[in-house]
Amino acid sequence: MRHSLTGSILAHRDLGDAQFEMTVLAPDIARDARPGQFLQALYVGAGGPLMRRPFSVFHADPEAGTLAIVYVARGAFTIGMSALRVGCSISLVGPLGNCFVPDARPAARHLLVAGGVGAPPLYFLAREMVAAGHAPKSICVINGARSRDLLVAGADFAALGVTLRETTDDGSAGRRGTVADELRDQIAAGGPCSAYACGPTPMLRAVGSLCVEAGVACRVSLETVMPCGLGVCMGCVIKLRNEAEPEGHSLVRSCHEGPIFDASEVIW
Amino acid sequence: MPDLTVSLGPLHLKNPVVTASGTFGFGSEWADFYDLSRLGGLTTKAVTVLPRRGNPMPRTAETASGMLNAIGLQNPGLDAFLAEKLPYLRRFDTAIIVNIAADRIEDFVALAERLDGQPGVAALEVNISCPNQACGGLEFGVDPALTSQVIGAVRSATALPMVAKLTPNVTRIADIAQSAVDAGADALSLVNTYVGTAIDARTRRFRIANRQAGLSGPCIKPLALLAVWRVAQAVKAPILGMGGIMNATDAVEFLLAGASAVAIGTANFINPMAAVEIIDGIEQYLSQTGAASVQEIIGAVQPAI
Ligand SMILES: Cc1cc2nc3c(=O)[nH]c(=O)nc-3n(C[C@H](O)[C@H](O)[C@H](O)COP(=O)(O)OP(=O)(O)OC[C@H]3O[C@@H](n4cnc5c(N)ncnc54)[C@H](O)[C@@H]3O)c2cc1C
Ligand SMILES: Cc1cc2nc3c(=O)[nH]c(=O)nc-3n(C[C@H](O)[C@H](O)[C@H](O)COP(=O)(O)O)c2cc1C
Ligand code: FES
Repeated sequence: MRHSLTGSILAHRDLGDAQFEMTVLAPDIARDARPGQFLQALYVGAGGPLMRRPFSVFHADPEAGTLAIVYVARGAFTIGMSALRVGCSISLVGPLGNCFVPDARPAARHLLVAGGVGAPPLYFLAREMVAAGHAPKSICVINGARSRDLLVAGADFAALGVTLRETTDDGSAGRRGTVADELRDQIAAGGPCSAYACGPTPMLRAVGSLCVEAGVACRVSLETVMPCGLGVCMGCVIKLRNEAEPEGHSLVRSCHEGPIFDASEVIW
Repeated sequence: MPDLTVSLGPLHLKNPVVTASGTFGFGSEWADFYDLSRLGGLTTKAVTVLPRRGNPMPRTAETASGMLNAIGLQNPGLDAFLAEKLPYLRRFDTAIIVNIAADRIEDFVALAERLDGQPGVAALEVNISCPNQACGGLEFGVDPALTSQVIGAVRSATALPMVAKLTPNVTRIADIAQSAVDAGADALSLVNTYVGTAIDARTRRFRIANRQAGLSGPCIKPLALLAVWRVAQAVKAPILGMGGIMNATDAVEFLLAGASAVAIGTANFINPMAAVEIIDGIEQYLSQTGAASVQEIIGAVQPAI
């Protein structure tokens, strides 16, 4: 169920490199949020933004009633948000959208592919999978960015005990190259596997086509502008393959039917 | 308790707050937030005869205190509306106002004929801000004669209460309003969005694929308020006022300017509870100011000095 509430900021950590982790007391949303779902956030401030912005749930603690987001301060909204202090309130609507569902085959390896600020929902997924009894070693997180300072949630993934492979375009951390390079090797290692990806669209397209060619199931979480996030404005549509339509695709709401889609169905 | 009931001609509302077309889908997305029966009315997204795919993305952009949209009327079409959307809406005790759009008068007529007599439909809102195919894409609502033709044609096709939704992108909106009323509109709704655009200096590209888009939100409120007041002065027809209403105070201002009811649009995106908070806020305002009913404040604005 979706909730519209005002939550108190319990913690707001500067993670360095313009990254922030914000923890909010929001029991109703914390109880209902699933990995891959997002929130529409808004804060009040002088000359502040008018419209909400979407942020993935980084993790949720139903017992404590808290949830966290991790974000990069990069535009007017997120820079303003980074100045909010502990004790301030923030308005949240959520949880919204669909969620990642782990591959249920017992021997499956789970390849979680994160690009930059796409890491938060995959951290939530990894954490929930470990909590649900998946062997940490069956989960391989491929976390990539242009450079070391743009990697998100590296230490958090490591703390889960999952297999962690980092890639950077410039080689400043982990393997020099892209997440797709690492993913190709992981798929080649053999055995049944599934991929779950979130990051910039060009990365998702590369990851998606790699998986489609290799016959690996791949779910991608797409990023679009989301004026409402609630499925009513039609401002967030993406193209999904649909042979029944004369154009060969339908236009579906990424906030409502998504943000997670089957890579094989997305028309990039 | 103050009396909240109002009328838009033959359309009776239990309170003066309606959701605006295109900002509330077909209602079902709101089920978690509040009981739709609390609303005075609910206006659907535009319904066209055939499904519409809408414009290419990007379709929206935030601007200073507002947003631009060029959705392009993406909707499932009349058949799907009747089969899949209307049955859901029927169960609520609220006035369902169906916003209809077309680029040919015949299509407006076809829509009105099919919707006439459908259980659950309380009124039609005729979106005359649409480009008219027969006139090289000129909008019906910018020309008094075209307005009169389309409203007259819909009038002959339905006995349902009919609201003409006016575009503000005209020199003299009161003239268009008068044509609509003369042609048989029971009420007027105004304003639709103001045309505008946005450009990204960094990428040197338009921020909207369609280039031209419609501006809504708090930035248009002063413009919309004046349009409502002007039309209320000039034309004897009830008005559904809208344009940048974010809270109950904004809503009261529209009522004072002469609107008999108000519609909540962009505010739904910012605060999903906006419409019900505005109903409660209007009631509170009436109680605190000793007014016995909404009727008392409609058009009650006084000169500044
Ligand atoms: C489902 C979903 C989940 C999301 N989850 C997260 C999340 O968990 N964490 C997160 O950080 N973000 C997330 N986002 C993205 C987040 O919503 C955007 O980061 C946010 O909209 C940015 O808003 P802003 O106003 O700060 O930036 P804007 O000003 O709107 O900028 C948006 C983009 O334009 C670029 N840009 C703008 N101006 C310039 C400039 N002058 N020079 C260079 N680049 C520029 C920015 O790099 C940025 O990528 C998510 C998006 C979606 C759709
Ligand atoms: C995303 C969006 C879609 C809209 N779609 C329609 C529509 O289909 N038909 C219509 O008559 N008006 C449409 N409108 C206009 C609104 O109903 C309303 O007239 C306008 O937005 C001004 O009110 P506001 O400032 O409160 O949003 C749309 C507005 C928005 C923001
Ligand atoms: S953001 Fe409005 S429909 Fe998806």
